[in-house]
Parts: sequence; C-alpha cells; structure tokens
Amino acid sequence: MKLKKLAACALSLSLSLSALSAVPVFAAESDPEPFTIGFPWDTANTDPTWISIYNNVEAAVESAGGELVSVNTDNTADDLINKVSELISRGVDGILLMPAADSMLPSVDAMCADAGVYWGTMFRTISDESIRDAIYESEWFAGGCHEDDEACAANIVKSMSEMGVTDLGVINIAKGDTSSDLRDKGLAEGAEEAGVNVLNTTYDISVTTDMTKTIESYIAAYPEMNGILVLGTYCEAAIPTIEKALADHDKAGEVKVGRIDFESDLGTYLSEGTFHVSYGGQQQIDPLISAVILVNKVIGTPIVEDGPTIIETPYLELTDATEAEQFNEYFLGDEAVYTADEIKDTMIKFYNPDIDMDYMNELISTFSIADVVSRHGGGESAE
Amino acid sequence: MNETQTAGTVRLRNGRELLVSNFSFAGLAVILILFEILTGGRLLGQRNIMNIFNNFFSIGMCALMYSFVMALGELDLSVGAIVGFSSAMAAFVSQVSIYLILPVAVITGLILGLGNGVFTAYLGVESFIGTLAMSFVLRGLTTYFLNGAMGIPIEMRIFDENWIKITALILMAVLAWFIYNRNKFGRYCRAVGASHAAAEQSGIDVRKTRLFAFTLVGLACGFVGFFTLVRACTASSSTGDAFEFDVLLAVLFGGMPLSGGWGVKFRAALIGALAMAALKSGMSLMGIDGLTQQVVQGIILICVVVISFDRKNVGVIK
Repeated sequence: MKLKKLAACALSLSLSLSALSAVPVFAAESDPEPFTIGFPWDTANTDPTWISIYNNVEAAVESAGGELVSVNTDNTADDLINKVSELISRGVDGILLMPAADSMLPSVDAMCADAGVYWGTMFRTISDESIRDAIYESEWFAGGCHEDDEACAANIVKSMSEMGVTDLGVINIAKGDTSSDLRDKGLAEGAEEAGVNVLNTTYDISVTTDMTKTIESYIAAYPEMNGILVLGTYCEAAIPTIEKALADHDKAGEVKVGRIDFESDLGTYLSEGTFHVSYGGQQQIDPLISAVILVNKVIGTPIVEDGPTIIETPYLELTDATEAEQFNEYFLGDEAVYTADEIKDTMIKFYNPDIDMDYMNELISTFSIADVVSRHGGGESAE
Repeated sequence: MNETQTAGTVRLRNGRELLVSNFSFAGLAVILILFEILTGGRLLGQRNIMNIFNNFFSIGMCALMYSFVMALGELDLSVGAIVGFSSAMAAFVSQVSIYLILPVAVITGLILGLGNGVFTAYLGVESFIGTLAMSFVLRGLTTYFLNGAMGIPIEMRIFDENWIKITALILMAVLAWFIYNRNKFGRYCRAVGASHAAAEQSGIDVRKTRLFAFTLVGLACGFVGFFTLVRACTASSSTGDAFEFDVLLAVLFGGMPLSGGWGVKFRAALIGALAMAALKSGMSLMGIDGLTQQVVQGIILICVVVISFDRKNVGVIK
C-alpha cells in the first residue's frame, strides 16, 4: 500500500514537473519571443543582386525565429516614408530600410518613436552632422551598416589609373543619395591624386536604353576616353549593356571598365579581358549585418547597450574570373552568405552573450569570397 | 425572329451601358470585398484604414482637378514633375522662412499649370507633348536646384496630421465638385471634350476653358507638393516620380474615358483613386511582390479601358 502511495506521489510529481516545463516561461529561455521585421524593398526588381539582398535580410530575421514582412517600394524618400507608415500600421516590431537621403531620417524616427517601433538602416551612413547627432540619440534607432564609399571610390580610381586609365567617363546614382555623394567625393580625391581626368559624370540611369545612350554619347564626345567607371547605378545588367555599347563601337577591351558593386556577369567579361576591376561584396554582408543589428535590438539583446550599433563593412576587390564565378554561385544564389543557423550561432546575442562590437568587427574582417565558399561546401575550390 | 434579335440586342446594349455607368462602383466594391476576405479582415481593419487614406490622399487630391483636363479629352503628363518642382521650391524657401513653404508650393504649382494651359490653349501644342516637355524641363530644374535632396524642419510634420489632410481633401473635393457640376466652367470642359468645333460655335471660349483646366491641375499639384514635402520633410529629385501615371491610372480605374466629353463623371476621380489605394494595400497585405502587383494593375487597366473606352470618339484623343 505504501509502495502504491509512493508510486502515485512520484508519478504526480513527475507529471507536475513535465507540465511546468511546457509553460512558456521555460520556452522563453531557449528562444526569443516571436517578432516581425518590416522591410521596404523593390521586390519588382529581378536583378540577382537585389534578390540576394532580400535573401540575406530574410536569413538574419529567421535566424532568431522572426518573420520578415516585405512591402514593395521604389526606394525614393516619399515612397519609403509611406511604406514605413504602412509597416507600422501592420504592427511590425522593427523596420529596416535603405534611406534615400539624410533629411528623411528625422521623419522616419519620429514615426517609429510615436509607434514604439525600432528601426535601422543599411548601406548608408548619415553625412549630415546635426541629423546624425539627433538620430544617434534616439532610443528607437538600432543602428546599421555602411561602407567607406569615399575611400572605395578613391581606391578604384587609383586602381584604374594603375591600369593606364587617364581619361574617365563616370556613371553614378542620383545626386542627393548619401552613397552617391560620397563616391563623387572619393572620385574627385582619387582622380586628383592619380592624375586622372574625369570627363563627365551622368547620374540616375535606371534603364538599359539610357545606359546605352550615355555610353554612346561618351564615345562620340570624348575620343580620348580610355576608362568607364560605374560608381553606382540601379540599372539592371549595367555591365553587359556597357560592354555591348563598347563592342558595337570597337572599343571593347580598349576602354577599361570598372564598377563599384558586383553584378552577376562580371566573370564573363573579366575572362574576356573587357572588364577590369570591381569593388563590392558589401551588397550581401551589409544588409545581413544590418538586419542582425536590428534583430538583436528588437529581441532585447542589443550588440551595443548604450547607443546605436554602427558597423562598417568592407569592400572586396574583384579582378579575377574564377572569383567572379564563385561570387555568382555563393553570393547570388538562393542561400545567404551566412545561413540562418550560422547567424544564430555567431551573431545573435540572445544565443551567444559574448557578442559585442569587437567580436562583430573581428567576424566581419574574416569575410571574403573564399570564406563564404569554404563555409558553404566549396572548401576545395576555395583553395 | 427579327423582333427577338432586336430585343436581345437592346438588352445587351442596356446591360453594357449599365455596366459602364456603374462599373466603377462595382469595381471598388469587388476590390474591397475580395481583399477583405483574402486578408482575413485586415484590409478594412482600424489600423489599415488610415494607411489606405494616406495612399489615396495625394492621388485623390490631384485626380479631382484632373477631371477637368480629362473632360476636355486632354492629358497632363507633367503632374509628377510639378509636384516635385513645387516641393523643391518650397524646400528651397524654407531656408528663409518656414511660413513661405505653403504659399510657395501652391503658387509654383499654379504658375506651372498656367504655363501648361498657355502651351496647350494659346500655342497650339498638343497636351500630350506639351506637358511631357514641361515634365522634362521641370525634372532637370528640380535636380539643378536641389542638387540631390533638401530637408525642411521636422516641426513641419504637424501638417501631416490626418485631420488636416482630411479637411484639405474635403475642401478640395467640394470646390472641384461645385465647379464641375454647378458651374458653367464644368459644362464647358465637357462640351469642349465632346466636340471642340461645336463648343466654339456655341460661344464657349475654348482657349480660356483649356487654360483654366490646366491651371486647376497645377493648383492641386502645388497642394500635393506641399503635403508630400511635410510628410517626408524632404524634397528630392525623385519626388513625384511616376505620380502622373498613378493619377492617370486612378482616373481610368474610376471609369473616366480617355476621349473626354459628357461621359466623364466627376465621381470617377475619387472612386478610382480609392479603388487603386485599396487594391495596392490589399496586394501588399497579402505579401504579393512588386512585379506581380504591376502585372495585376496592368491587367485590370486593360479590362477597365476595354469596358469604358468610347471607340466612336477615338479620334479626339490628343
């Protein structure tokens, strides 16, 4: 009889314990609360780079069990503001965006502060000092990633100069865009230092027909032009379009071509010797880390406790066809440059409390094409 | 047999006319019901209603005055550029005084609308070409003046309050409705659109009618430029990009015939803008990507134009 009572007590105790273990308070220790991140992005753009940006943000959000809510935008200041408003109305916990201009950020911050929503940026630094100070003081600004656009532009001009370029035709994103302005500045510095003559800069080309016309105009107007540098563009297939225009005028190979921001066809033209240098790779790591910064903030484990987390991601240099092919396979494929599991283990502070700025900077310093290839099953080819 | 055929033809014609005259309402109802179901009740949820309003506001405000140009059988492809330029000028003068922002935006829009009217009515330039040229000029000037982008003080966001925008829209709608339906100018626009020669012979000053119609659109663009500016607190070279197509799409969604004339109903502007805002919001709530959204809008536009297009008057499209 005593044995039965003892067994009954043991059974009830074990049942109570197992029931208690199912209570959410225990589950919360193993995973963060469910959350949603809003992402205004041009989902109508079929360029592999733009798709890869989405994939990398999605991987970062899903790594901590979040859900990505995407809305289509043309990435102009007005439309981004409308989309921030829409995402807030949809009840997201955080918003990640690529700002079109510094001056729109106080509006974004005011809207997010009113709604109690964290927000972050990708690809862009804040150049305006007064706006930067105000935004960095906001408790709702999680931070973001950017690159040293100025140094990158200066470096690529110097690289092209070393290849023999003396007279350069330039393409850039619309004026007023922070990256565009910084790259312009870097171009001027690099050109002055290397003694390169900048013949002309055309801004805001978004379609291939305009790209063709611009290159043809350059060829006609500047017979001395021996280099074309794309500092940035939202035009799809920019390099194939430029290469076609040059080939049509028997200038392919003769005019050296360089570009900031990798794209999918570089390998072909590098191997043919008609394309020469590209700085990029940030288009995948930047949005991924930017999303990681925001996710960490949203789930209550910010990388930096007393202010925004600002990380500078490096540009990678591409001058080799093999690397270009690896870039196509491992950066522009369906998989992010860090998988959701890798992000969970190495970048989400909830799971790894050792994460801080030094840790993140060290992690990012190891990022390269070879690094991605070795992590994602291509170890041999990486060597 | 003949009588049966005739009766059938009449029934068909009546059915088509009924569909054409009411399909804007029917279209709006279908969009609202369909997306309300597909989004699980989120489309008309409290949180999304103001979101739809914000999408609808600028397009609706401009579409109200666009009705006059459409009634004339004309097009104005410069509305986006006027919005951008008005916004840029207002941002420019905000460095002098924030009190100048509203008047400068509105006056800029008004003057540019007047310019469009002069090109079309007095210089004989086809509206399609004239306003397109104006659009190119303004885009270039906007980029030149702004050199990228320019911000205004964040305090100006107080004008982005919903009650201010709702009041502004109601006032604009009442004004436009009155002019369109209760003032001889509205009738003149439709008469000119129906037959330019007949209107002229009836003593209507066709030139002045055209001039005033384009000026009204410019005025609306000035207001839209102001509200766009205070919402983002930024004017950039891309402000108002593709806005002309949003407005055109909205009025066509509402069932406005491209051919102009008496078939142009004032309500089409509001219903079309509302239907488009609800459609975009619904698709966005469903997580439909931008590419598919474009395809859906294109298909709907084709259907709307097929139903509403007045083929008999095809020759009058400018």
